Amino acid sequence: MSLHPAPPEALHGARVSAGTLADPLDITALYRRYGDLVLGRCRTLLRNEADAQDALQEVFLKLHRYRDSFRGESSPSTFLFKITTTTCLNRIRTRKRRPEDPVEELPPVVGTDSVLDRLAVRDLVERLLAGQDERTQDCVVYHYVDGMTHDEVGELLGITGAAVRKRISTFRSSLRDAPPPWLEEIDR
Amino acid sequence: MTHISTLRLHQLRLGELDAIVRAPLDAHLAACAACSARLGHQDATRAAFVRAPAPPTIERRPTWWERLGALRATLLLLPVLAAGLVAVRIAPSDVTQAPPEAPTERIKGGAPVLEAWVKTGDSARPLYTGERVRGGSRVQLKYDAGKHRFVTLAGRDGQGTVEVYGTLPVTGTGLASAPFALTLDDSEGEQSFFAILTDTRPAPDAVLQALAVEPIRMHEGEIASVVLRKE
Repeated sequence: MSLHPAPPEALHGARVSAGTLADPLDITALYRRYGDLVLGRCRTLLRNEADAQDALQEVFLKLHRYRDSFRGESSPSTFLFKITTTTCLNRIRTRKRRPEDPVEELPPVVGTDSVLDRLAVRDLVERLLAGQDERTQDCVVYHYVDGMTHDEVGELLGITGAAVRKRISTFRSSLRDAPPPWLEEIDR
Repeated sequence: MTHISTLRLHQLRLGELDAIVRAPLDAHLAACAACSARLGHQDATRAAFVRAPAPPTIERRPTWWERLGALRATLLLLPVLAAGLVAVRIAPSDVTQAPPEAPTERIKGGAPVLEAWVKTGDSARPLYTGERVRGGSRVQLKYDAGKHRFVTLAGRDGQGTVEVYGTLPVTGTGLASAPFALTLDDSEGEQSFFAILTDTRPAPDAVLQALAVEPIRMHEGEIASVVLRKE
């Protein structure tokens, strides 16, 4: 193939219902209906607006390229939420592997639709990338950032709720010596 | 009940949940200020998005000369006036720098319809057929569909691999940008971009087959292309 990014892992195992939209392959309609969902998600996980806008385009480019996966049983919102999360985390991992790239600071954006505030999300992601495998990173983000239950995360990722609980427990154990303020706040 | 998940809030806002699922969520929202605020944030994001629905695209920034606008003519006239050449008349076309010509190549049909723009620093410029472009460059496709109802954007690399990026319904007139930008990989060779303009939505397989062999032929519509050399 002449163009990247690589095939998104999120597209495998996540099938989308054709019933919500008249034409599930109508990317323009999907963009109009769900573009704000994707952009908001990107803003939550990425550090700056430019990254978020790039990721927004990347997500819909993936829809263009892998539209054959865009049929099945989950809703378009679930499908896009998952693709966007994977896209953003991959971008953060890539940035982590190339520390020479300049990293812009968070813009002074107020408000979020996440359970955690933006600074807490940033701290959580930093801690995750420091020592957890990618599946655990996914579990922790969906659980702590988005407020999903273990079972909801499991359903989204195609694993059991017990497996999610175990991964989150592993992550929490890694924070035992110096628990961050946001974790203590959640536990209260 | 713990807080409502971000995804559930989206689905609630989008009306994608049935009444049984929705009822406890509505009750929670009525009692939880935090979740109400999160839903309000989603509504605000939606409102801002609807006001500016088009994704940011790669646009050519005006040159310093173009930004001068009407002052250009004055600047040109000053030395002329100073020299006492009163009878000089400068036509607008003499002092206006035309924007770059669209780097299009016709295969068949009417007006040129496909442009490929590459981002260079803070600005962007059009790429001409045959031009060399580096791997990693970000390319924005722009098209003018004319009277056609659908545009299918596709690419073909040096190995002959055809990729259909998608079919878009035409919603307006004039030049439109694809709702995505492409990042070229590092493999060297010819990279072609195609815009297939049709009145009915073409089958993806038909597009793949048509673009896989030369000469390119479609049963209906028009095709335009830009062919670059990737290095």
